[in-house]
Amino acid sequence: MSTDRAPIRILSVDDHPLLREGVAALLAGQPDMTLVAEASNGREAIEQFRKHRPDVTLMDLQMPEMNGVDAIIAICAEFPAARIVVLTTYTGDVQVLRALKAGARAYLLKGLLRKELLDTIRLVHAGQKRILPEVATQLAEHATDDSLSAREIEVLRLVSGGNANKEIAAQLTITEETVKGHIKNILAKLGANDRTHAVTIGLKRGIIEL
Amino acid sequence: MTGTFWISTGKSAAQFLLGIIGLALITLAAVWLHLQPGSISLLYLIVVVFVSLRAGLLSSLAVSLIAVVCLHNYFLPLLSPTGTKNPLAIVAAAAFLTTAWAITAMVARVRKLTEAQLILRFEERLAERTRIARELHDTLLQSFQGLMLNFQAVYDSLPSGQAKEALEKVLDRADQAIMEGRDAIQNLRSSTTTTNELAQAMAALGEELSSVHDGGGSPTLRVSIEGTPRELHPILRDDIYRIACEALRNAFRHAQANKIEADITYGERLLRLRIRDDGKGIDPKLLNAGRDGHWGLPGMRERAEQMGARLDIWSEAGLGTEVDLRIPGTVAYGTEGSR
Repeated sequence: MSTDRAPIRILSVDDHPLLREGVAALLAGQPDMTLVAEASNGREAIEQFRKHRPDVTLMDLQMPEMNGVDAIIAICAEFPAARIVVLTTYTGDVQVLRALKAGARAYLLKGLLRKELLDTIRLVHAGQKRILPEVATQLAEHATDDSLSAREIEVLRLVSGGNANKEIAAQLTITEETVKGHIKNILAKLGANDRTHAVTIGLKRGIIEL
Repeated sequence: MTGTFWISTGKSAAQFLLGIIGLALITLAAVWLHLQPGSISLLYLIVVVFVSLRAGLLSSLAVSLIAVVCLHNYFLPLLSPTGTKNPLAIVAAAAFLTTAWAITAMVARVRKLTEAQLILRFEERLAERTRIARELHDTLLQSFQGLMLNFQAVYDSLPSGQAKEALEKVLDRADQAIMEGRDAIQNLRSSTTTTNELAQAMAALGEELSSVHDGGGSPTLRVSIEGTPRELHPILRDDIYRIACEALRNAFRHAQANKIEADITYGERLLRLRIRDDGKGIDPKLLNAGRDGHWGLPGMRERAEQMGARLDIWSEAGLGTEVDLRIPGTVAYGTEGSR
């Protein structure tokens, strides 16, 4: 641990207070790190980032008001050198890709934070990227898959909400036939047997959220 | 109900034809017997209702119109001298049509309502599961993950020694438990069977059960399908699969069977699942009382009742057990069943 240098300044973003508390407790024991601010959604994260210019930002993805990916996009557009670590519960190649494309430097699972968080903060601060092996495997597995279109993702999200084709058609103001066509494409692209299976795969791969 | 409804289904068309033949026979008989228009229109009504029950709204509308034409042309002229227009004829025709359509619409409505109620019940349960999964994810899981970080902070501050080592092990176990919880929450959202093919799912389960069966002597399972497998609602499929699981588990674990047979029949009006074994049978007292915690019989019955199916369990000491689950086609295949 290099104590002679200035400590790494950290912004912690998560909508769940107990998780922020845990991160704070863990960081408090590290002489080379200091927690400069916290935020509970994407919008607050952008504000806090502007105010504090942290060295490393820890970002949750599922948050109310503004989600993590949108916040990452906004922050990286304004501050291209921002170093952001994504913290989330589930692996899912699509969700990982979205976050990385938005500009995240590392992707961590909340279940592994205890052992991985501090090292990852140091690595990312030193300018490196970090993706855990279990996440990387998922990414590789689907690297050549056809990705769903924005409309297909929307349809899948509505299917996961328990909507019938007719209701989906009404909500998207398209015909029921078009919905059926979308669903056929979704099943083919995901290699799913039926709607429920497609939702399961969608959740596992982070195409849609719980 | 759309125009293609009765044209596209051969069965409905046949019912429609049957209705027309019925009308013709009644007309002939009425002319032969010189029946009063009142009793004839009553007979016609019966035919119209029959057609609306079997072949749908459009067919019955068509049949009732034909009935009015028959009534008008053959019987009402009997009451009035030929060549003059009888205002009574128009009133009678209108009354007949109104009655016929009112009955038809009522039948269609009741039918649609029951189907809608069933679908709603499925959707409600799916929505409920989603809600539970989301709640667990947002509260319990996040809290535990946060607490684990707090524990780690405490761990870091401890001097090395036995206590620290012990805590490390506990924390690792806790990590595992949380991971399992996370996966369970994700699975709440998904179906127990990822394949719509019940037979496949059951065969897979059979393989699993026989692999955990101690040593040799594991019974053989043969799964067969009759009819063309059809799309089932995920919740319903889950329910059927769970009943099948219970029956198969009983056969594998308790029955001491040599052979287990499972038949799935995708009939037009009935989806039927039969699971038979040649084991020692279930004690009749148990079968009737359905004692809790063993065999899982009450659970099977409850599930069957909830989905509107009929479950019969037959068993005799030394002769084996047969579980027979019958689900009406309207429930099993949903509203768009008559494709």
